Amino acid sequence: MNNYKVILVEDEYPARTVFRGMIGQRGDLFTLCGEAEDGQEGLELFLKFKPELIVTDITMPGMNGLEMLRQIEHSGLPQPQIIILTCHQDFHYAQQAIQLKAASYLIKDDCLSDPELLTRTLEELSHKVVSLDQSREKQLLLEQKVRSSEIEIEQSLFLDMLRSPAAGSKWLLSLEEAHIPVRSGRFRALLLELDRSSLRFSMDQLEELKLWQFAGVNVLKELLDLQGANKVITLDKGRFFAVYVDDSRQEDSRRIDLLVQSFAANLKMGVLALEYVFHPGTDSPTEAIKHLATASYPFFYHSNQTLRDRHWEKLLRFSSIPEHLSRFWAKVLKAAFLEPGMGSSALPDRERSSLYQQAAEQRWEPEQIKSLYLRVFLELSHFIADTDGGTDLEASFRKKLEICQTFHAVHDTALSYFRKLRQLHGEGTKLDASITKIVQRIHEELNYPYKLEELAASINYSVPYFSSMFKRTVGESFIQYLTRQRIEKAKLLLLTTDQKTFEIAEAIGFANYRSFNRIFKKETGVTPSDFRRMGAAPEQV
Amino acid sequence: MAVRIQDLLADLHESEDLKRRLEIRALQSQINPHFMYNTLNTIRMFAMMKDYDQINSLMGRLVSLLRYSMENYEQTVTLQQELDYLEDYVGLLNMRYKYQIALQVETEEPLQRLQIPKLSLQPLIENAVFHGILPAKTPDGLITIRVYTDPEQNKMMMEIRDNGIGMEQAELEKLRIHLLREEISENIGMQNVWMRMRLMFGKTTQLMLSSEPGGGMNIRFIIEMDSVRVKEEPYE
Repeated sequence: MNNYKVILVEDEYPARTVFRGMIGQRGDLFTLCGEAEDGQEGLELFLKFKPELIVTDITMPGMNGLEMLRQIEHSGLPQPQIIILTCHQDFHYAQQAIQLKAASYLIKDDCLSDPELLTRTLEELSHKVVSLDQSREKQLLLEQKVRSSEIEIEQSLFLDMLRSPAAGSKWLLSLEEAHIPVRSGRFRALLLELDRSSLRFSMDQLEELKLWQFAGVNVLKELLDLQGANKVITLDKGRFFAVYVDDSRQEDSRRIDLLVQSFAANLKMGVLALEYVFHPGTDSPTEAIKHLATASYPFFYHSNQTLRDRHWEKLLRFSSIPEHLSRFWAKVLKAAFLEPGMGSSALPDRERSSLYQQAAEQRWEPEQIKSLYLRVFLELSHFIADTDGGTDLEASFRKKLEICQTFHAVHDTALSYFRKLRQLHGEGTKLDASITKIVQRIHEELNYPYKLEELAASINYSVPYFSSMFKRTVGESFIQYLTRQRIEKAKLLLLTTDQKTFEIAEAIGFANYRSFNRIFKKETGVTPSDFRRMGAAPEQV
Repeated sequence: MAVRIQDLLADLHESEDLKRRLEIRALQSQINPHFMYNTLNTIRMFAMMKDYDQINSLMGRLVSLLRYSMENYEQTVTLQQELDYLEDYVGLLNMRYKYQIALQVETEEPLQRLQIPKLSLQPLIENAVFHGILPAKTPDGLITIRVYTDPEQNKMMMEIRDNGIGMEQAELEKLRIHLLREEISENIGMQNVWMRMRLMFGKTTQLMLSSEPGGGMNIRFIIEMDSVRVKEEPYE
């Protein structure tokens, strides 16, 4: 027989009898291979007969029709065409039914007034069974649309929650409805971000980002679906947040490994992830969730691990870098970046790991770590390449630095930019490490009465060799350079402090303020006091 | 002056009373689900099958249901009136479902004439049927209603028990909390009954829920004897 197989799911027996009769009228087309009284029985019949068509009621005792359709959808079997028969003209039901891909939605009353309505609808749908392959593509597209708008709804619900406590409890309720026991039981949350250093597009391309976020949700959902109820929310800038039931059958590390692998395999992207275990009795899950979801730099020092108890709280707090340590590390990094071997692949790994260790231990503010590296870069660029290329490089470095999510990303970015800086300076010229150390010293202690002979002797250079090496490295003679630095500093002090000119002269290493006056006028064209008076318009000087 | 105060007090009293009546009326009107609609649909089904005996019996029960809910303007009825109504209600359900449900009633004399809020037991029976007995698919569903006094404690007990699938402890706990906090939840029927019982029998009325998975559900109202009113026997 080439008839289409139909199953009928209806809890009331008079209705069942009538619908059975209707389907029987078209015995030439349909074979009713089973009748069920509730969703559970309907599901069993579906698995047994794999029918092309299902006619089902919605409200039934035990498992209802919608739940049955959900399970059929997840069965992995070829999907049947579905007719929903109901007394309810309730839009809420219709909406859910459409999401479950019900092909048709009939009101029982109408079926009784027009006894052929049911079979006519069945017949129309049977054509669809034949051309299912063509429509599958369309269905997929539609499905994608529904899913992406679903994602947006989830997102806005979540954002509402962040804003108001009332919306918070509504959101919790929606989690409860999704069978995630947020109020009472154990559940977990996952914070995940696309690793921006592995992206093949810029974070500014919003459309592109949206597309990848969508793909990311699918990957994440597929994985989480395997272990139970879950809710995935996409947030800004490639961030995802998921809440799901605690499935302790799976080892913690295994889940995160799987996640990282799936993203790498399906999207060719790296991800950073942290998982948090909530325990029964977490007093205010919304508060905790809020903090987690909005945390800045959650992955800066640690990622891809599972945190328990209230451990996560600690990870969201940072402390600022004490000034003396910040100066100390700037010096160390500068020295490390200037090491002769730095141009090759040998990284200043010793410095990286000891800085990392201290920073991670003290949980130094990521923004401050970034500015530490930026400062080093700027100071180095200052005497390496004072050209137009340098400012472009600086802008690009700042931008790259901004999107760094981890300590190591910051370090690596700084390193690669320092290499670019070197290239800009010219492949041929080798930086003389001893000279750069001297330059550094000049920077830090301008008031010292430097003497050419003394400096040359301090690094065991002859005076002429020192002079020529200095000029090659820095681009100007020692005395020109020293004077320029002093004048720049003087300008700064004149404009930003109310120190007397003789005090300034002393602070920047001039023997007396008359020679300061003279040299300042020679370099800038005005006297220090005139410069100060002209104040806010130094460009005209 | 005193007269005026008394007038005002009387007004106040009257308006409080009115408020309470309105409250009860509002709660009552909430109970009118798709039941009527479903019943009419069932009648149509039997008409399609040309089963006139069934139609006749369905219509008979439906008419008596309608009479009960439309002709009794009183907000309070006697227990017996409500029980007669339930007999019809369960009878109608038995014509829709294969599984037959029996209603067993045990009332102490003279509590048949106990005054209770109209339609206050119906939602509980509806729950017992749709969430207890039908999902259990037992061929002999049984709902027992017992009303008796406990003279030692000076209380009256009203007990509704079914032999359905019962409830998990966690679920039961959730229901208790919902009822306690007066939150509107999916258990609106139960909520409604509980509020009306307290409006009628006072705040001290207690509600006890107990259940075991597979062991059915037991709902018990514990009511102060002092707040119990029994309608006087009509003169023959």
